[in-house]
Amino acid sequence: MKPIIQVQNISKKYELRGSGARSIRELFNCFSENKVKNHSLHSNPIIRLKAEPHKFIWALKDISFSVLPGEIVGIIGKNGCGKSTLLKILSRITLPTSGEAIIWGKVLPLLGIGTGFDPELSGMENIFLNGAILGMQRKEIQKKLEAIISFSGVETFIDSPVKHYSSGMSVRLAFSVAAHLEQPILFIDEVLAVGDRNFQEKSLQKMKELAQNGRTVLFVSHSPSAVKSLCTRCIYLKAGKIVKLGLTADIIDLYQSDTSFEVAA
Amino acid sequence: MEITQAKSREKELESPVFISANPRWFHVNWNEFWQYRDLLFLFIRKEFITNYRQTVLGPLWYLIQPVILTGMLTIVFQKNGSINVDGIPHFLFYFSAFVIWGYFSAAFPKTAESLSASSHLFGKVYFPRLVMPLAYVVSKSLIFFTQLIFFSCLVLYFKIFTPSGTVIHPQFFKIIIAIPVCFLITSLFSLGLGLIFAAMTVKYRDLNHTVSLAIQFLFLGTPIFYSTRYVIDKDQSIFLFNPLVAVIDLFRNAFFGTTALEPIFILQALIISLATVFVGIGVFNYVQRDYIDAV
Repeated sequence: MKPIIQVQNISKKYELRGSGARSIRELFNCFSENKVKNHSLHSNPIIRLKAEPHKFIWALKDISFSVLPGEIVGIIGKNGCGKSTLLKILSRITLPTSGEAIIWGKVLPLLGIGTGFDPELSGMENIFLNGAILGMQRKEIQKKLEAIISFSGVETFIDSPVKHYSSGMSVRLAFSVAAHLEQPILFIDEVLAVGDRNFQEKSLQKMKELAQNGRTVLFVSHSPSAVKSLCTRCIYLKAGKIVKLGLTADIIDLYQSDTSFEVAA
Repeated sequence: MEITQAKSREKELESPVFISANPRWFHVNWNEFWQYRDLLFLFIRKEFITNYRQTVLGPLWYLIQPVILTGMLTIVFQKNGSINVDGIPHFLFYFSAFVIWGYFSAAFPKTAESLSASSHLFGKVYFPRLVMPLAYVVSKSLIFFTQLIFFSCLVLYFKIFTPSGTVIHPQFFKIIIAIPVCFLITSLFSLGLGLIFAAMTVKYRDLNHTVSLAIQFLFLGTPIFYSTRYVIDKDQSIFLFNPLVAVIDLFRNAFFGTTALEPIFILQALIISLATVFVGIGVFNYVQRDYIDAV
């Protein structure tokens, strides 16, 4: 079987100084502050960054892997290890610094829930807008409309503006839209962390259901339990590099011993 | 290499996505753009809804604003003979320009913020980002059409019921041609200029201030409260780099029968607007690829 996602030597470099001076005033401040507060140079990280304009970090370094159709692959690692950056690159939100990737099919990116929800629009209008933002056509959403509304459980409020919804309601509606879209490839970035415990379980269940329909899923998380229950294979990222790639159980063991070791140290 | 092999299999599948460090920067995938036409439509609709929901007067505001501004200009300049209005009633003369200017001055700044104001959206999901500025320009075109209808009624009223009607000579066929031409050039110029500013303001926030500066600059540099001929005798070359000059001149010529610029200047305005759009799409497309790292 040929892979549906192929990633080859993807690297991403971030300039620590960000986008350069944001304003001319900041540019001047940068010089004057360095002179005045020279003694506190090492205590204040922001000033220290300004003082070293050419510093950069590799958020990702030489990431290569491939995913077969129907696989659910977990990407696990601590905060700041590059998991989200990897998904952002694969979702075409930003460019890699070097490397290539190819994805055979439509992607449903769930990097945040309720992306593009507009508080002024009604629930119904938001279903269509959100669906279209996530890459679906009007007709396709029309077909799923009833299922989306009934899964969300906000039938009675579907025509009132989302700004009058409780946060739980809008999260449920947003998740419901995402869960009913039909792209063959799914990128999930810890979306499940939103909502109450009950809803988390419901959505985890729904995720499993979606995955079992033969979809390909890349699931990014720092929670071993969520990864364990969903994924067949796993990638362990650390400081932008792949530590190990293999079966979920092995990777989770490695990850947990790694983190507990660090805590102990 | 595996990926090169994979590229040759491209045609077998519906829509493979290639990700690389250096995509061709002037390459706009119009095919993909077409697939997102529903999104374009929904964004336009959203703009309409969010602008008028919970307002009593709704799009009427597009008339109130220019009427008040035109009234102000009339009060200030009517007694002052030095400003040339080609003998047309002042109120009518000023309002004709606001049909064009009102549209441009709303569409251009809105388009200019299409990258920096949508970073929350573009940071979470990919879709052709050109959809956003395009939706803004289209949604603001409502201003043009509401004001156009009101203005047509005004012209009729002045022509039939006031003594100054004898100096107004609306030419029906010219109007039919002038309206789409004026609309097209103004839309293109708003879009092009907006795209250029959208791309520039991402890196340097300072340029946010230049948007309002540009608006004020163009307000004076566009024949809104004076006739084109007032300036044209003195130095036309720089003045005519602003496509809105020829547009407003054509518009007034069609509705009032005032002396017009030579048609070559309309063509020049169209070419300049097209050039701004071309440059605008280029820089916008170049910046949007990874601008999310900079905001």
